[in-house]
Order: sequence, then structure tokens, then C-alpha cells
Amino acid sequence: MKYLVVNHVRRFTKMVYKKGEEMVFGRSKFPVSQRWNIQLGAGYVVPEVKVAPVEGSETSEERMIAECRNIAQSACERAVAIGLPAFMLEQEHVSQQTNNPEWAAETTKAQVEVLEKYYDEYGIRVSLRQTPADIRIEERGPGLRGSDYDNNIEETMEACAANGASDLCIESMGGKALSDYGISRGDPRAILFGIGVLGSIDMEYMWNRIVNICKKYDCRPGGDTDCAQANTAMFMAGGLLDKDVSHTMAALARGMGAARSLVAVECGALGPLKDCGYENPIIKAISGVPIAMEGKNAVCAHSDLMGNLTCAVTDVWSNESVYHRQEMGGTTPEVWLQATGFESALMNTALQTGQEEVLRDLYTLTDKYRDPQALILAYDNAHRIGEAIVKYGKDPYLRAREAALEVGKIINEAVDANKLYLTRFERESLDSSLKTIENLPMDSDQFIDECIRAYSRKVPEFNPKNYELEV
Amino acid sequence: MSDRYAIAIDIGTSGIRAQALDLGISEVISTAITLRHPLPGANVVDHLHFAITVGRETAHYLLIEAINDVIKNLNIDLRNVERTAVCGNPIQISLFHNVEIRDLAYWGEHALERLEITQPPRNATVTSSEEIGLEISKKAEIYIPPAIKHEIGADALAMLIKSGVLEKKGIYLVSDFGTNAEIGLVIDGEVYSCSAAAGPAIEGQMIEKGRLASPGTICDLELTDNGWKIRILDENLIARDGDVVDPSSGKVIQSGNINKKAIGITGTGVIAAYSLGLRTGLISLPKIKSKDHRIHLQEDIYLTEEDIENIGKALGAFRAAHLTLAEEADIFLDEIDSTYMAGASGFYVDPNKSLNVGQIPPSSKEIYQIGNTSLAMARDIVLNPALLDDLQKIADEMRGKHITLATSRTFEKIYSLELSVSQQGMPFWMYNDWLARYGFQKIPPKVSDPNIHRIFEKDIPELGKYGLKIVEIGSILTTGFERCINCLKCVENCPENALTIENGETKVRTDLCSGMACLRCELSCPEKVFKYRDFLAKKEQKE
Amino acid sequence: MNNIEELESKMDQDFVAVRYNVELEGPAITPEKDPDVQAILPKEEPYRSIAMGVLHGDIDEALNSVKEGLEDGLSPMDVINDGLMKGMDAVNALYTKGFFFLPDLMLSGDAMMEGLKESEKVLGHKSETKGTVVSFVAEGDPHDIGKNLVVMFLRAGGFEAIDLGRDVPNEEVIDAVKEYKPIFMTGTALMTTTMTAFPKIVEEMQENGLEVPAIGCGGGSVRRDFVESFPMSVYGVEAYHTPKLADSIIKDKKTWKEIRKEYSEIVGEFVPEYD
Ligand code: B12
Ligand code: SF4
Ligand code: SF4
Repeated sequence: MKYLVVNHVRRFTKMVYKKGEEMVFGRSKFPVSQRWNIQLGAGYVVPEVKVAPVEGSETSEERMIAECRNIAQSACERAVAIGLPAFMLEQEHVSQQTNNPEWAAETTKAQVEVLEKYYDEYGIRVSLRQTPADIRIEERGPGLRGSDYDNNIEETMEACAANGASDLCIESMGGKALSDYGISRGDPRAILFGIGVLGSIDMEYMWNRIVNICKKYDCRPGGDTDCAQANTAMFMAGGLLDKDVSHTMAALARGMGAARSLVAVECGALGPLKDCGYENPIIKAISGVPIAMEGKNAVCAHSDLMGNLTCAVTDVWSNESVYHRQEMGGTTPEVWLQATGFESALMNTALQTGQEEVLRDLYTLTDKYRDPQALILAYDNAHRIGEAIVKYGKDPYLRAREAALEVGKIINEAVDANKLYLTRFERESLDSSLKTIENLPMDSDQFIDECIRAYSRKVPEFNPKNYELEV
Repeated sequence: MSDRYAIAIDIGTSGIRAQALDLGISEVISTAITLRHPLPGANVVDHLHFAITVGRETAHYLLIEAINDVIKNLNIDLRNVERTAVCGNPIQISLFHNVEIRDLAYWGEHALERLEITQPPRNATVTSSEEIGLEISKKAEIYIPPAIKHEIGADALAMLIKSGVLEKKGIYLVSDFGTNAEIGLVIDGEVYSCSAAAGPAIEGQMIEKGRLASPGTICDLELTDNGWKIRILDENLIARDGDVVDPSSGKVIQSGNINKKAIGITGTGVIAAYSLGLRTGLISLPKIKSKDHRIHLQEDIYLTEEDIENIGKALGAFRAAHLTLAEEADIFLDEIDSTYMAGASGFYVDPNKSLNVGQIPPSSKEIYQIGNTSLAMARDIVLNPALLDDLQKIADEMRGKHITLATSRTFEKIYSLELSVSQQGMPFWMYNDWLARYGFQKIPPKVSDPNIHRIFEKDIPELGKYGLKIVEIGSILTTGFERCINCLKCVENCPENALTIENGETKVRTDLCSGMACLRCELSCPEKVFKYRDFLAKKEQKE
Repeated sequence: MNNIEELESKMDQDFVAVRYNVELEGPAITPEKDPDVQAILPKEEPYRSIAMGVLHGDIDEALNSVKEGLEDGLSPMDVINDGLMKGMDAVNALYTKGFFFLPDLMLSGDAMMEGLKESEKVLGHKSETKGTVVSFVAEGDPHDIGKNLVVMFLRAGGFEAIDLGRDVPNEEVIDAVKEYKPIFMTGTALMTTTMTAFPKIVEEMQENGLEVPAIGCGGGSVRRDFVESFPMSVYGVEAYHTPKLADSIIKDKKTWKEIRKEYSEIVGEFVPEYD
């Protein structure tokens, strides 16, 4: 067998949430507790802020440490200034941080110091999320596994955990070369191979290691995101009038992305799953872990077509990313924490007053029919895709394929019910993709064989060895 | 300096280029060119048609007369010329050689049968200056390289050889852009060739304000923050910055350092406008989205929607030919390792724009602009006449794999998609869908940053110590028409100002005249006495 | 429990979010759902399926429905007029609207022709058409895309089009005139070297005492002044004008002289070449 339908992880074959409408923001089936007295998915929504170090700070370790400390300081100041009961600070590493584990150790330490001070002083519940960068380069020998880059990621993870990070995340990139190829060419088979198979294989490699590291410390394995793949499709699909990639194709990629990102949880990640994983509601429905999401308060980072809908079942509400700089209302850590903080306050008020389902539904309805990509992430539909995934839960390829087919079904039903209209571009792209996907083999070995043959030459960056696939 | 010379000549549709070489030191010493072809007409078929109408002899005579004028300007003693080589497309070479041309004028068997035409072999030939009529040493040998197939000539052979792709492993696309684009797809040395009859729009003709490249013409456009910057050819045919204009109104936003008024737009300029128009959304096929449905480049220089249709049809022939070749050769276009652009148009056009409009495949990662390879090959031959035999061998081998687009169903299907795009505005995703429906590959996505290799500064890299001389050819044919009432309708209707009538003598400048594709003079004569042919009858009498 | 559905039913979607892409381009609906097409398509079976087969450009679909209809004893003429032709009318409607493109036309044209042949087999002879038109590409010319369109539009318009192909010698054209006595003839040439065939053909016809009401001459290199420099001819601009020109000949008995004058009116649109 080419790709062992892997047994060293537990696969989801059943839904933890039996119904979509059981899901709501702020509550998850398996809340996570971290140091500093914070619980995630335990009945309240936690706002998150994430700020990218200013350009130039990566030139020396001292500067980077100072930069990270400043970001934490600003966020804490504003949090108490506006009365937030809890918040999460996430630091996404620039490559220099991950490449130099000793930098990562020091920057984490600096941020821990600040957060701890505020926790001690005000009792504010805080969480520090560290997200090392996936700096591996697929086409550069020795590839994804065992390169210096790869080893540095592992060491950095450990450095963060050892120095007090509350949890660890990563945006892993396995399979990106293929999914990029497929997205730019409208080739759904390549996308499925890149996300469903290669992405899943690589995540397993990555996450087993992260979970093992976390076990050694008071640090939780957080989650991954299909940012490198499904988000690429989403960004290329762009706004309503853009035509580089169809929005229906991007929706299919999202469905596949859920099957892939679920692997982190299967390897032992506890959540909250990483904010830019738009597929997270699907994974929450399957696994019950808390999730972080982003939308309307991440406009500083990018534009999506579901700014409210993504609030509906989230547990942590994030701003995605913003450069560290001054705005009229303060520095960006202050400004954007304030934005996510107040949105979370609204959700928490709803939770307190028993109106959470109404608010959840309102959030959902503002965007549900704005775009096919939004439609499929509405909690009821997310649950349906989850069911499709667990139906073939043991086989990463088949479940990604099934997720895509279910996405197609959901869109077509909405179209048939005259709730959503597609353009001819979206229509034909969906029809032809679904036809392609339906005709793909039901045997993952056969599919993998075919894909290796078809793409090894066309996508020079792709090397089956990176995924321990036999040729 | 020795006193043994050779001459290399390239006969192109838009003019003659000749170079003198010193055989002692094997170097170019001088260059002379014309900016027009001596025969009336704007493309080879016009030349051909003219030649058929007036007789091969006359056409041959006019051509040789012009070549003699050109080589007189090479600054050498023509009596000491020992060798001369020519290169060009089969029509030009046949006119030069004075062999059968009618087989090139018709497709299919019927016309050939009726007219009892036998195709000449068009093999490599060595002949003499006397035979051809060149006014050089009587002992001089003249070398004529072989054609691959009747519509793929020595010029195509030249680009294949000079690009060096025949000896390399890998997949290469080589094309010479002109009204008839010769395209070769070379896979590990194996050549698949075709000729895509793109049409005269590529050279700025059949475009309302179009002109062949000459001083004062717009040859390129550049997108700037506040408008389109015009690039205009100066007296030495070097592109200079002109005004920055708002293309939807023609308003000058910023004056450039060439403030002379442009007199027209060249083929490369048209491609630039098409490319920028598509990129900025000013063109939304088949419409121009300005108030008056025109793209304004300068006072009185503009493109109309009809121009856009014509250029679309022409560019469509390229893309359809590329896809057809790739399908026939069973490769994907994005497997092509590098793309070579030969010829003057291929040299002066901005490859990024060619890529944007489909003149080369959008996936071209490595692009080489190799200049005038015909002239280069003529030079190689005079320096080493033994090359002629090698060329014949290569041509023989290649004759097998020529793809005749006229009988290719693949081409026809794809070209109708092109017509849908340019005439009806079919979006590209739908084009791709149709390709898939037909079972063909899709158009590959566009590379964002192709590597462009410009081997030389100019399309003729070495002009020699005496430099470049531009020779004006002004062959004039004279006649008089009986029963002419001197109403001057013919003169008024001549779009090229090629005609004059004085004292009952009607004169036409053949190099300016558009010839058989035009005949507006004849068609507009109210007395039906204007007979274009009479010019030539007179010419023959004079002989 | 299904609160969200209740909420959803209360809201006007466009009040919250507008899909401008759909507003701009119109929603993707199957061709048969287009209102104009719905007005054209027959309601009864099997005519509807036959017409749909043509509309979808699906030869098998069209042919099978035609065969079924004929086996059930429908009159071949009904199959042609109420099925195949209606399908083609629908295709034309979508083409005019810019929803269908050349390749759609070609496929639908093929489907219609296959259905037609099948019906004529049962009929035992050629079906009644509005009239016979002969089409050709001049001798020595390979460019037949325009001529293929002309033929397709003629057939879609209810004419019998005799397609002589490309590189057609003049005698063959003359012979076809003798044999079919066409009400109209179309010639296409894209090369200046081949367009000279037109005046020669006219000359030979006159020598043989032959006449057609008009010969439409078109193709890339051909210009109006050239065409009008010899008799019997009309300069043709767009392939889809052809059935209208032919209609004007049978319905209004127009001659080539009149068509030259009234071209724009006959084809029902502004034609710059005739300005
Ligand atoms: C496609 C094409 C080809 C294809 C033809 C495929 C095919 N099966 O038809 C191929 C590649 C085979 C080809 C070959 C050649 N071609 Co070619 N080709 C073209 C091209 C790019 C487009 C022509 C076309 O299909 N237009 C679209 C159709 C739909 O237009 P159309 O036929 O004119 O019809 C429209 C109207 O005219 C009208 N119409 C036509 N007839 C009628 C009749 C009536 C009654 C009415 C109402 C309307 C009407 O309806 C249509 C619109 O709706 C043109 C260049 C250009 N940009 O136009 C050159 C062009 C026509 N070709 C040309 C030449 C010279 C050739 C070659 C001879 C080149 C050579 N030297 O080898 C060869 C032929 C010999 C060979 N060896 O194969 C020249 C002609 C030049 C001239 N002045 O004569 C052109 C202009 C290009 C050029 N080089 O300048 N060509
Ligand atoms: S009008 Fe006559 S003289 Fe003038 S360009 Fe045309 S063919 Fe030549
Ligand atoms: S148009 Fe005819 S009559 Fe008038 S000047 Fe010219 S040749 Fe003479």
C-alpha cells in the first residue's frame, strides 16, 4: 500500500456534535484550560490579537525581543483600559524567529513576562499562542523532512513550549505546490491531491511531533489551518467580480481543507484551532474542540465574503494579522484587540442572556447567501460536510473527496431553492469540477498512483519522497 | 582590408536588407536597407498577386532593380563581390530566383491543375549573378537556401538554425512574427512546424491608423500612473518617449521629449495598445469602453473597434496555432522550456505584451529575442558556402512533420473559439471549457515574471564600419489612359498618395502603392478607362 | 427548533447582500430556462426533446428523440418544423443575446442536420425548404470558416444549402447553378488572388445564359467596391445576413440591384460598409 491508511492516529468516524444547531459560539464539547486561569470554548468567547513585528525588527535578536515585548505590552494595556476579562495574544513568527530557536525562546520569554505581570496584577485571564513559521522549502533538498529548516521548526516549538507559551500552532504547507498548481489551472484533481492527500500526510508528520513536545510542558497543542491551500484559493477567488478562480472552486477547496486540517486534532491537537482556518466550523462539528476564527475584524489583513458568519460558532475571535504601527486610535495591538474585544463582548452578552442562538443565526444569515464559500460554512452546512468526512473518516483521500462532493450538493440545493444564484462561470466551474471529482477512483492507492504519474513532471517542486510515497 | 567581398541579403515583406562582408577578415563592413518593398502591396500575397498579374519577369525585374539600388549603397566595389546569399520567405526567394510562384498563390489542387502548374523543388541552389541580374562581378556565385515546404521557407529554416534549438534536448517554440507567422515547435531536435496566416494587422496594416515601422510612428506604449506613455520611432528608428495621454479621451497628461506629432501606429504599437487595453479594462472584447469607442493615442491617432476586431483575429491565429501544434505533438504548452521570437517584429515588440495578448504562450518562462535571423543566415552562408548542403539536409528531414493548418480540424475548432473571443467577447474560462469539451488542453496560466533575453541591441546587431544607409526606392511606372477625362477621381481615391496625373501621363510609385488588394484607382474611375495593368505593359515595352 | 429558517423567511436577501456578479451577468440558468427560449420551445413531447437536443448541441439526444418520434408515427415534416427548427430558433435567440457563441452554433447546427437527414429518410425525399442556395469558397482558397457559417445560418433559416466546399473550380459552380437553379448563391474568398474568381464566374454564367437573382460575395479580402464592379453580385458582410438576403429574394422578389441599395434595411441593422 502506497499510503498506509495510517493507524498511529485515531481517525474520526463519528460526529461529536450530533446536530449543527447544537453548535454556538463560546461553547465547545471539549473546552481547553491553559495556564493563567483561562478556559477556551468553555462558555465565553475570548478575543484574540495578533500583530506582525515591524519591518527591520528581524535584523537582530535584541530588536525582535523588544518588538515582541512591546506588542504584548500594548495589548495588555488596552485590555485593562477597556475592561476585557480575557484575551489571547498570538505571535506568528517571522522566519528569522523560527530559524533561530534561541530567538524564539527569548521572544516568548519576554511576552510571558508581560502577560504574567498583568495576570498577577489584574487577574486578567490571558493566553499566549506561539505559531512558528513553516519555513521548509519543498523543492530544496532534503525536502520537507529532516532539513535544517525542519529541525529548526521543531527546536523552535520546543523553545516556545519550554519558555511558557500557552499553546502552539502552525500553518503547515505540505502539498502546497500541487494545490497551487491545481488552483491556478482549475484542476480539481490536483487540488484534491495537494490538500486531501499530501496535506494530510504532511500534517501527520508535523503534528505528531508538536503533540509530543507539548506533552513535556504545560503547553497545549493548538491547531493548524489550511491557509496555504484553501485560503490561497479563497484569496485568488477574490471579490464577487474577480474571475481568476471561481468561488465555487474555492468552496470545494475549503471542503477538502476541512478533511485535511482535522488531522491535527486526530494527532492530539486540542484547540482552539488556528484562526485563519475558515474550515474550522466543520472540524468543530466533527471533533467538538474549540476553534478560533476571523472575519470582519480581520479586515486589516484581508477581505473575505463572510465577515459575520464566521462568528457564529467560534470560541476565539481574532484579527488575523496587522503590522505593528500607529493608528489614530493607538498602536495596532491596542486598536485591533479593542475591535475583537468588543465583538466578543457582544457574543458574551448573548451567552449570558440566553440569546446566543438568535445572535448566532443573525450572524449566519447576514452572509449565508452572499457567496457559495460562505454558504458552506454556515453551521448547518458545516455539520453536513463534517458528516460526509466522517463517513470515510479512515481514509484521508476519500474523506476529502466526499467533503468536496457534499460542498457541491449544498451549493446545488441552495441554487435549486432559488436562494443563491451563480454566474455562468461559477456554475460551469462547479459542474466540471464535480464531474471530475465524481469520476476519480474510490481507491486511494490508485488515485495516488495516478497523481504521482500525472504531476511529477508538471510540478517540479513536487517530490513524492517528501510524503514518504513510493514511486 | 582585402578586396574580396560578399553580400548577404534578406528580402522581407517590408523591405530589403543587405550587408557587405569583407571575406579577408570575415567581417561586416556596411549595411543598406529599404523601408518598403519595391512591389506594390502590403503583404506577400499582394506581392504574389501583383507578380501573377503582371508576369513573373516584370516582378523579378522590379525586385532585382531595387536590390541593385540597395547594394550600390554598400560602399564597396561591386566588381569585387565573389559571393552573395539571400534569405527570405518562399515567395520572395522565388521572385528573386525567377522561378514558378503561382503554386504559392493558390491552395488545393484545382487551380494548379487548371493552370498546369508544377511545383518547383525549391532546393538549395547555387546560381550566377548574370542569371539573376545582379550588377556585381560576373563570376560571383549566388547562394539560395532551400525551403522546408512551400509556405515554410528559408526564413523559417534560418530562425530554427540560428536559435540553436535543433541541437538541444528540451522543448522549444520558435516563431517569426509577420503577416504569416512561421512557427516551429522543437522537441528534442524534432521539428513540428506550421504557418499561421495571422494577417496584416500584425504589421499595422488593415488598421485605420496603422503604418509600417518608420520615423514618427508609435511603436510601443507603457502604462504609467497617470496614463499611457507613447513611444515613437525617431529618424534613426530608435524608440523615444513621447507624451503621456489618457487613452479614453486623448488628453495629453504630460508632454514627452518627442513632441512631433505621430503619423501612425506600427504593428508592435497596436499590440501594445491591445495588451494595455485588455489589462486596464479599456477594451472589453469586442468593445472599447470609451465614450466614442476609440482608443486615443495622439491627436488623430486612434484605434477603432474594427481595428480591435482585426488584431483579435490575427492574434487568434497565433494562439490557435500554438494549441494545434501542442496537440499534434502531444505536449502541454507549459512544458515548453523556452520561447524564441525572431524577425524584426519579434525583436521590437515587448515580450510581456506578446505574452499578454497570446502572441506567445502565456506560460513562456524563458523568452529569447533573436533578431533578424534571415540576414544572419545569409551571412553565415557567404562566409561558409558549404553550409548550403547542410541546410538542404535539414530541410529534407523536416519536410515530414509539417502541420498543414488548412486541413487540421483541431485548428478550425480552436480558431472558431478565437473568433468567439475577439468578435463576441467569449470569456476565457468558457474558452477553456470548450477546449476541455473538445478534448484539448487548456490555455496555461500566465507567468508573472518571464526572463527575457535580448541577445542584441538591434535586430541587425553589427552594421559594419560604414554604418547603416537607408535607401529610398522610388520605382515609378508610367502610362496614359485613352479616353481619360482627367477628372482625377483615381488620384483622389488613392489612399497612399501613390498616383499622379500630369499631361496625360499617369504615374504610380510602386513602393507606395498597395497594389492588387487595393485597386481603388481602377474601381473608382467613372469612365472605366483606368487599367492598372497598363502600367506594366508599358514597363515591358521599355525593356 | 428551526429558528434560523423562520428568521430566514422573514428577510429580503438583497437588503443585506447583493451578488453584483450575478446582477451584472445574469444568473447561470440552463439554456432552456431562458425566458426567450421558453417562449420558443414547443411544450409537447417529443417535439420538446427534439428541440432540446438541438439546443444542447447534442447529436445523440436530438437523433434519438427524432427516431422515437418518427417510430411513433409523427410526420417527418412536423418533426422538422415543430422540433428541429424550433430548437434552432432557440439557439439563434441565445446567440443574438450573446449567451451562445460560434461553437454552440456549430454543434447545434450539426445536431439539427443529423435530425433532418433522419427525417428525410422517412420522408423519402428532401424536405420542403424555403429554397435552394449554393455556397462555395473560390478556387485556390482554403479559408472555409466563413462559408461554413454561411451554410449553417442558411440551414437554420430554413433553406436548403448546397455546400460545394472550398477550392471549388468555376465550372463546378456553373454546373451547380445548372443543376440546382438556386434562388441565391454565396461565394467566399479570403485571398486577393482567389477573389478574382467571382467576376469570372459571372461572366461564364452570362455566356451560358444562366442567371441567379443574386450572388452574395464575401470574405476577408473582398470589398464592396470590388464586388459591385461586376453584375449579379451583392457584397455580403456578415454570415448571419445570408438567410435574410435569401428571404428578401423569395418573399419580396428583390433583385441584386435592389439588394445593393437596400442591404441595411433587408438585414435589419446598421451596416457600416453600406453607409
Ligand atoms: C484562419 C486563417 C487561415 C486558416 C484557415 C482555416 C480554415 N479552414 O478556414 C489557415 C491557417 C489554414 C490559413 C492558411 C493560409 N492563409 Co490564411 N488566414 C486566416 C485568418 C487568420 C482568418 C480568416 C478567417 O477565418 N476569418 C474568420 C471568418 C469567419 O471570416 P470570413 O471567412 O471572412 O467570413 C466572414 C465574412 O466575410 C462573412 N462572409 C463570408 N462569406 C460570405 C458570403 C455572404 C453571402 C455573406 C453575407 C457574408 C459572408 O461572414 C463571416 C463573418 O460572419 C486570416 C487573417 C485575418 N486576420 O483575417 C488569414 C488570411 C486570410 N490568410 C492568408 C493567407 C495568404 C493564407 C495562406 C495562403 C498563407 C500561405 N502563404 O501559405 C494559407 C493557405 C495555404 C496553405 N498553405 O494552407 C491571407 C490572405 C492575404 C491576401 N491578401 O490575400 C490572410 C489575410 C492573412 C495574411 N497573411 O495576410 N489561413
Ligand atoms: S489606389 Fe491604385 S495606385 Fe493608389 S494605392 Fe491603390 S492600387 Fe495603388
Ligand atoms: S478616374 Fe479615370 S477618367 Fe478620371 S482621371 Fe482617373 S483615369 Fe482618368
